[in-house]
Amino acid sequence: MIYEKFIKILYVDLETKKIKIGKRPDLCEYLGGVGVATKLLEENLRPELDPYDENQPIVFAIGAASTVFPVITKTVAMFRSPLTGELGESYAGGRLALTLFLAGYDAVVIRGKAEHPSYLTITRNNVEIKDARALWGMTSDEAGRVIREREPGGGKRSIIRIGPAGENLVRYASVCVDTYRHFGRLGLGGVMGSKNLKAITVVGDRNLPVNNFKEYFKIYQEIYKKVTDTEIMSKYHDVGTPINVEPLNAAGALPTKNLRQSVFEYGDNISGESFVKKNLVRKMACTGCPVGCIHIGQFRREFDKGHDYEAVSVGYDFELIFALGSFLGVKTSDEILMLIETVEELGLDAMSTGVVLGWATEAFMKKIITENETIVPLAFGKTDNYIKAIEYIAERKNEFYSALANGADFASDKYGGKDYAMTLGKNEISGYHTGYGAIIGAAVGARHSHLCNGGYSFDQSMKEFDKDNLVNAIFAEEKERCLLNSLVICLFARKVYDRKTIQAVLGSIGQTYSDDELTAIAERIYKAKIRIKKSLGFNQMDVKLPKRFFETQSASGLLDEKTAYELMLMYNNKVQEMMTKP
Amino acid sequence: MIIYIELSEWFKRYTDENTRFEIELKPGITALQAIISIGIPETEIGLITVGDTKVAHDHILAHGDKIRVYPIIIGG
Amino acid sequence: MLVCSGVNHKNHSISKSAIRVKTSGGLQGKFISIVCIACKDGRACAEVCPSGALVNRAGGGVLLKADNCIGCRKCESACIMSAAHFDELENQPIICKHCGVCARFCPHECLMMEDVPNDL
Repeated sequence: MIYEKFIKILYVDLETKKIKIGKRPDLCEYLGGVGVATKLLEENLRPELDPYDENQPIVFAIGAASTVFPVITKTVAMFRSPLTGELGESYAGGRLALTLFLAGYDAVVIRGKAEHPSYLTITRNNVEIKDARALWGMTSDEAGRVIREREPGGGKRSIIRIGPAGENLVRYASVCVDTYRHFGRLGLGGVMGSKNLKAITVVGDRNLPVNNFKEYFKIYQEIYKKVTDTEIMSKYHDVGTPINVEPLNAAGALPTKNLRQSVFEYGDNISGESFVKKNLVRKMACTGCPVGCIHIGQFRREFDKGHDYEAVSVGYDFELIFALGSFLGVKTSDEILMLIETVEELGLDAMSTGVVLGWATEAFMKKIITENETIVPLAFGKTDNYIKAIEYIAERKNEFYSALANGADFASDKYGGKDYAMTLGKNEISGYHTGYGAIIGAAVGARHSHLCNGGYSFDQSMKEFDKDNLVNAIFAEEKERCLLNSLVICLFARKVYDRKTIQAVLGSIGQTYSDDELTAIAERIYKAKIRIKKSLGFNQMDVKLPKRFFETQSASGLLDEKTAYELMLMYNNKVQEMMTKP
Repeated sequence: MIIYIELSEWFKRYTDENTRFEIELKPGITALQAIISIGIPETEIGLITVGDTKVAHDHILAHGDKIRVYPIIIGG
Repeated sequence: MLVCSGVNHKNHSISKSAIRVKTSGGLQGKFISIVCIACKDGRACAEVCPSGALVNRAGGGVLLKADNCIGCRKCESACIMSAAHFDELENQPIICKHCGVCARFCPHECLMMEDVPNDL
């Protein structure tokens, strides 16, 4: 906790409605954020029980410097993922970090299952579990509106909530944070749903004098300048991550139509510039960030006969343009925004939803499933049927859609087509078919995300492919991000927060760490994650790499399956070696 | 030799809104050097294609080559 | 808001900020900033202050003389812009002193300072 030598934890039991405050000096060696959350998950997890068992915990955590420095904006959530069955780790921006910080908590641990649908309110001096029965079944938008009206604290409040998908335990259900932000991946929405927890609101307004203003503000200004002066930040603000569509498509790295292709003939239609020209209406930021990378696109929809039109605004980013765009052969920016809105309202992870539907479309094409299963015919580019399919997934409409709701890995186990069910470690893939880095990065990443270690970026930065260099680079970055995610920095600012800057930031709030100590912390956290994964039955060499990766050209040419498995083995050896060191 | 360069829209901020260039360069110059010569910072240069084929940054150019330049891939 | 409370109150809490930025209503409302507009012709807050804690500031607006403040909150209701808000802990209002630090740290130039003549 800032200016203190302990980590302050709020424990909430939804069943007994009792809370407990913990002050843990011993957790300071995990710094905060993902470090503290990993340790708390390790302590509270029940590996022998199902992810949806009421005894499983949800852990939220922030860091000591959260929001009082630029772009240190995120909150981490850790849990047992219902999608992968193992480590669940998810990040969200919005206002959650600031409100937890000013409510006075470094971490929140939620256990148990509420007797009936409830929502949790956390303020500086009260914690309550309230009746949410009337909200059960509502979209995240509607539920948010009701809570906003009902609860005090506007302006210093964060509201996170699940949609119908989470209530129906869809394994990649997401949690909507404030507006346009999410805990997207790995199914936190389902875990909240399994606890009858519709929403959590946090109000933060405690008094918190600055300890060493001169030092603090000096560092603040330096970082602010770096953040606002660099080109990288202007990219995130101007066009945003959708700037990636054009170069990835040109390089032959844009997963298209279930990765049957890596170039999309309609790529220009859905490029970042296209969205800017046709749909962009607003940009927003998370609390504490001067960049403002949230891009809001608008489309018009006729919702009733008689020219009844409405303007619908949704946040869009590169990963969504890939998953609900090129991956499904969807050709226009408007249609992508429509799909994003559907996914948003129901509370689903956009990436997993798109990739799951990609598998389903190809399976339908190959006739291993028929309209008996899909109800509506699925075809690449047919947006209106995709919208229906997404609704069916969220409600688990029939046996087939219930299987889809469990993920592409599960569905392909049941119906076939494993070779083109694009998952790594049971988590659906991200939008980079750049080379070995992209595949291995997500296969070995602790949470199987492209953000674990940014493997895909090494395909771009490494001039020549070298197995040892790639494996070492991924390993080093995976550990380093354990440190960044303990503070909890938004990874868009990872280049600004080098070791020197991190030391300066922590130093100005009274926490001095040497470079070696920071390295030790990073490794300590990574080891804890590996221990958890092991206890949940994860074995790196069990991970299968879908054959489709090696059938479709990547930006680095056609990839070799044997080489990929070899890289994974090399990485695993490095991890095992790390685990045996004291 | 004459080289044609076409830039992604994003690079307009460095070139006074121009995206198409026809420039005269000495033979032996690399793709990267050609692009830098019109004012693009090296750190911003991502994929380079010559006549729709991807090339390395140190690819030696020939007379009449049509270069396309894309920004680097950012994360997230 | 973070730099205002930091610089002017040496505090991390946004509740101490003199400028408050929020949406004008609901999810998709425009952002608005509620801040002192430096009244010149009649400073309503200073007029209702019974103890002389708000004195005219050159150029517009007021300055807070904290020692004279009794915490009656009359200035809060008098301000037509709702810009004076009360700090319960310190028992005094939070008054914008037009220092310009908020504008300096607005990354997209939404906030601006302007030079005004001395009206006193």
